[in-house]
Amino acid sequence: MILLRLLSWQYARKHKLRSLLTIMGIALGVAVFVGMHAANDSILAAFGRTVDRIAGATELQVSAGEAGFDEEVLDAVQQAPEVRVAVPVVEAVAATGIEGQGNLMILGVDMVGDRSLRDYSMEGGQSDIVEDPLIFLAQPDSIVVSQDFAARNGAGINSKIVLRTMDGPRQFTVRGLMGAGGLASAFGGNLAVMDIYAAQKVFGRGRKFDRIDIGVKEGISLEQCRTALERRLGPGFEVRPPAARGQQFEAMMRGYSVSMNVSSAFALFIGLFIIFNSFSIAVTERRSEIGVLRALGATRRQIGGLFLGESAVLGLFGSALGAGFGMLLGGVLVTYISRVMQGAYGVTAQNPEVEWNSLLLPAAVVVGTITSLAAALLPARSAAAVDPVQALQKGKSQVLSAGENLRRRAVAACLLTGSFVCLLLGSSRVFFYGGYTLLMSAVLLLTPSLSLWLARCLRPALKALRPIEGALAADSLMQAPRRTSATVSALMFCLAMLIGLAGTSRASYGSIEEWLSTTLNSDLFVSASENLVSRNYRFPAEMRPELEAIPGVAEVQPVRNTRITFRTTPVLLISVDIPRVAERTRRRRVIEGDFEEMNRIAGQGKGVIISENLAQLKQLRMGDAVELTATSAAVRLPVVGIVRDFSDQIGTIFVDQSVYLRHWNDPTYDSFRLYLKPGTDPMAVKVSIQEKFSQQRRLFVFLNQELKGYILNLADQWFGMTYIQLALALVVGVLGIANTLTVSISDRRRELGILRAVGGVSGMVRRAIWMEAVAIGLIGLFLGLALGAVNLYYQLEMVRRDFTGMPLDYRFPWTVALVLLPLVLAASFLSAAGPAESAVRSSLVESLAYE
Amino acid sequence: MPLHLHGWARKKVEGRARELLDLVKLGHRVEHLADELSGGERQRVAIARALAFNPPILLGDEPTGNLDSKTGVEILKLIHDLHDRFGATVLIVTHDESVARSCPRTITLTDGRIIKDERR
Repeated sequence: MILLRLLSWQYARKHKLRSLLTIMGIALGVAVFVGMHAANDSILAAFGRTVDRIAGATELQVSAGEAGFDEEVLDAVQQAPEVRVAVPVVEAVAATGIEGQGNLMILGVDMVGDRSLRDYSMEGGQSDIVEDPLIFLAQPDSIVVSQDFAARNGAGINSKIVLRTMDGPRQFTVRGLMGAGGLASAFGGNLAVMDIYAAQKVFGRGRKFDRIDIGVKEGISLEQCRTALERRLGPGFEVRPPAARGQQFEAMMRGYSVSMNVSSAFALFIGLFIIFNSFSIAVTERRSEIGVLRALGATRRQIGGLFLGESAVLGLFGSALGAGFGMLLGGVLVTYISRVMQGAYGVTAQNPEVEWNSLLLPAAVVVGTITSLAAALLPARSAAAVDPVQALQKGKSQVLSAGENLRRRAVAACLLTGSFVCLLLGSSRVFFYGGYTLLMSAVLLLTPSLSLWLARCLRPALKALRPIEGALAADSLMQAPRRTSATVSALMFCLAMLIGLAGTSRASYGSIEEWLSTTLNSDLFVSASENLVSRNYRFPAEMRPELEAIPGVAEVQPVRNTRITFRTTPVLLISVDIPRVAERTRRRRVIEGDFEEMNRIAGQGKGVIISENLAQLKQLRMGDAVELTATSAAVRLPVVGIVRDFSDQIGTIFVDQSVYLRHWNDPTYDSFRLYLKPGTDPMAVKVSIQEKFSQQRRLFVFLNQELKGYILNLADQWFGMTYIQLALALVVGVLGIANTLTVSISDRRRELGILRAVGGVSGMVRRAIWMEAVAIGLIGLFLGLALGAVNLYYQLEMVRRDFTGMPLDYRFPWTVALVLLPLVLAASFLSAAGPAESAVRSSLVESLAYE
Repeated sequence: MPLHLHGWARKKVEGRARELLDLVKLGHRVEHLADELSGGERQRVAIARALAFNPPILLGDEPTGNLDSKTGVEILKLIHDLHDRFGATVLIVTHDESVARSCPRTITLTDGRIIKDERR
């Protein structure tokens, strides 16, 4: 501690900006870590809370996927001896059309029995309506809202509220108000209750319920009741506690959670490199000081401990600061992620607030401090290894001894060999990730040698540009590979990560665009929801011939999407007329199976076609039996084809509509794909459809280009992180190069002083510094792009193996690489500005007296 | 600093530091920073630091090199006094003949070889 006070604090005070930049490096990483996790946890917690509050005293829930089940199932459940109370539920989210109020979660319930499970805390003068549900039932436009919602919208008993229903906008009358707390606080207070049969009509449920909520008889355990009900109802039904829905939502968020974890790790990695860079520079700068300390009796352990102590203190400050920033960032991210989840999955936690896990902030501080220590480990070891005699000799420290060089290369060669072997053996995760780690370690060891070699290659070009300044710049790099390699490493790794991300984004875009053009290739789409994925509203079957009758329409293909649980994972089941769809999508990418054969068999209802990502994530192959939980029974069908499909990140199963109708007994549709006759104007047909249906139905019509734009915009949101990471990579570059140049100028004071003394003008000194900066930037860029090309392969494999299961084509992001060139050059110039001025303005006399 | 590096308690370090500074006649400058000291005073501090652990051998590399003649004589006198008091062997490297002559034994090297070993 005394050394920290006597030495480290003095150094930090003298180099305030650098210390601040080091602290900010770790603060940045910790802020992203805290913000991302807080937002993720908050969304999940808000969804879970909504589920809990809506569930009330419900102990078990019967469901059969999103398609629901027939009303008759209720009788079977109510007759079970283990069941105390069983009430049906229809649950949906409806748009209110009220400015700023967003959506309203509607709970369609049977008021007679539901109050034994849910606390409505009714208020208002119309207590007789609540007490006499018959009056409530007799008025199908009755709705009960929360007091909070009513207060926000100036509504009261008998007020009218407009909801967007399947039959278009409809007025509902407020018949009761729910007090604060309990059920009314779910969904941010935007919750309403209506009669279940009215809800069936409003949301196109026909004669189906979404689920049955159950209270278990006293003396019967949940497990007993659950087992008994599953036996009674047969396959196709799930009987679960309400909390299981939260787990399903969590599974859907998995892809985004993984992406956020990667972003957090990347941000911490950036912080780690900023600290590694700063400490490497500091060790180089303070070699004389270290030499003196060693000469005064300091042990190697004390020297190493000093630098680790400094990094721990900086890490602690940075982490605390980052935790604070993270709290602010969490508030911003929670809204952004909530919107992305709504767009991607059609579910949302209404206006989620940031919730703080009591362990998150301490964990973030620990993670940040450990990252800081890890970053300083190598520089601290290097400092401890300083020879006092060499340290007090100018310039010697920067040169890599021949022995050291050989050792590094030998170790790097071993690591590269190991990495290659792991690649060959790469089927298991251990080998894959182990090989990746070995490769990165090898590259880190080789960076000084590669920097030196590239500096030698650049020297002729620099000399050709400006003979004196170019030579000085190149020689400075060649004489001090240690100093340069720390910054080059930082820049190289950041750019490599950036290339990996950009390449993954580009591959995803490319694959999505291909999928859109080969599969979603209809001229028009008619959807029951504005975001295409929400399944609250559905079309009746009779709408199909109505659409077919519109002039210009050649073919209407109905589509029904529903989420089902497949091997504990919620996957998307898409029901279509497979043979007719196949006719229109002949260019679809087939991964396994014969296109004609798979569509023929699946079209006959004798098999399923699955998406490539599902096959990867669930290890499915051609011929494997897939068991689907339908409402009438479990359906077992073989996999007859595997195709590339991006309908869902978790996975998609395609069945023929005959199979779906037979086993799920659900004649409704979510959307229609319209193909037009040649020469027909799609816009004119769109207008015709809107004119014909908008008054009587809720529907949205998209042109093919509009749909593509929407989906690609969604992809943009997922990949928006890439741009943030680009900015971070450039920040690292600027900081690193500025640090390196500062030390370079300090080391070369005498050399620059002599240059000025023999007639070198200020401009010449500046140009030498600028050229050195540009050379460092170019070396970092070249190595970053090269490593990035390899890193891209690994990242695509990670996506395929562990993230989404979607194999993506390798496409090097040349556009990004080209854009990086001027950006890195500009960043290099920027970073050289301060050091160059410092070099020019330093006292000539002092520079010459330095030695 | 060497006392801190050896893990001495803070109070003990301060006590010993004052003792050493008094020994080299700089006790009155204890509150001053190194930047505020003259060349001779800095050299005295360096000598005091070297004596921190009562070393059996004291090595001086051009101890009067950067000093004017008067200060150089004072430093040399101090070194001799300390040698008499503590009995430590003092080995001085110098190019200054007068410094060499002040010592009881002088070993002269040219091109790395001993060419003379004089005792007085």
